[in-house]
Amino acid sequence: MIDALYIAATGMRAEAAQIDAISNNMANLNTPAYKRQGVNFESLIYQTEKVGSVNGQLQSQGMGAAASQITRFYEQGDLKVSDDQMDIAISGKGFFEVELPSGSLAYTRVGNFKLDDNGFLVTENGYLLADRIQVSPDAIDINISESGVVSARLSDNSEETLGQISLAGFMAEQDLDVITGGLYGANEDSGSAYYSEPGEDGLGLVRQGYIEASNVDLVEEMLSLTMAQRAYEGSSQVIRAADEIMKINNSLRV
Amino acid sequence: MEGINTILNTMQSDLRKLNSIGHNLANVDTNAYKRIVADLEVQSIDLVGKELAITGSNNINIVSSSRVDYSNGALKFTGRSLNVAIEGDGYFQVRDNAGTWLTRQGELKVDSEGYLTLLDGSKLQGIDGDIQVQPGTIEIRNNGELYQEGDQVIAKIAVVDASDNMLQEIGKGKYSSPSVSLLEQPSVRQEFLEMSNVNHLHEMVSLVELTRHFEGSQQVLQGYSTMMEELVSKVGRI
Repeated sequence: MIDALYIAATGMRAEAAQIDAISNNMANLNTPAYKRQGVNFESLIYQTEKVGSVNGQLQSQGMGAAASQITRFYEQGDLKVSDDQMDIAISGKGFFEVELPSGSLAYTRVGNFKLDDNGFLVTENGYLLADRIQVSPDAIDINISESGVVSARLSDNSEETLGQISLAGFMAEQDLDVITGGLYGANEDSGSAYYSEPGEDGLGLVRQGYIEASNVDLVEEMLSLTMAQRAYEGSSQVIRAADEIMKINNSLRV
Repeated sequence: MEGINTILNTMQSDLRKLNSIGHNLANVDTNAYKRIVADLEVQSIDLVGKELAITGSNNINIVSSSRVDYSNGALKFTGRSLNVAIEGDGYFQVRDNAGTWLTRQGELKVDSEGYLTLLDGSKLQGIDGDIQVQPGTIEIRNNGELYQEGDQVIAKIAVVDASDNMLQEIGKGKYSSPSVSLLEQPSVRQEFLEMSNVNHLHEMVSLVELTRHFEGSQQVLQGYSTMMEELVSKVGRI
């Protein structure tokens, strides 16, 4: 009946999407290597001829806003010291490549690894690290260098090199598919992965004994939440005004 | 009774004003959004001779027109290296399948082929066309020059100037302009985004203003209604 009603509703819907993203970020404040989401707004416009215009002059007619895209921000999270020698964090860009039970590949930055029954390095959920590093049962200490070389000290005090952890990088990492549990999947938009040793080709270093915290900034989330709530309120005021106007319209005839 | 038409016109323009307020308030979080200002425009005042003016009969045509307020929004520090904002005047140029557009939105990403694009995939234009980068850090200096590891300039972001009244907004924060000229000394800030230039207080005040105006207009219409009622029921009686 009144366009403003629908215009204001688009604003409220967009802000609701923003609040969803914020609450998702807040809930994952303590999830290792969680990457925060952000909503990108865009204005909806269509063009009409200016009222009473002679030379077909156009004017922009606003139709509200839409939450067009949910983007993920792959900024570095803080590295926290952990007691576990099997915790590996990436300092810089890049992902560990893991094999899913289905045989397809996935990528993760969550580096709290463990050994499976056969001594292979697997993620906490049991997905095999694609570099297939096997630790022999008589190893008493595992050492991982910054450039990803894994070596073990055996019970007879000899050193043995077990393999090399390589990292996967993407040109368009923000376009990766998000699979549950901190796993990401490659798709057409993200391009396929390029592999490199840690520290090469713009990829980060691996740090043994560290865990990457989430990159959620509580202050920023609270700020966005306040903004989103007030913006939501603003649009709801427009709906109230439109309602009031319709009421007045109806009372024109007594 | 031409007055009824005038009142009706202003009431209709109130509704259009409400639309733009709704649109502005919906876009308080849209990067580099420029607010729409709805104005009243008195299009023609047709007073033929004094006599008409004395009798109060005139032909005032009030239409609502809207323009865009191109003043700059505040710059917000984001700390993300792929965020750029223009300080002062100017527009970035982006290219998609449909053509080349102007925008002040600076939330960039790198696509799978290494091109710098907006989030919707339209490619940011440098002085020499599309900008392709290698994996690794990107540094964008104040003059728009783009560096990657070392002092070698990879590209220079094109910042162009266009006159405000020639711009046509085509949606998603993009504009078209028939003619543009390259800015000699652009000022580009990396790690910043331009916010929307909507002033919340301003919009709320307009909202109050227009609802009350609408209410007042309704009273005037009611006055006309009473007048006509009197006319019909009393004047005709013998």
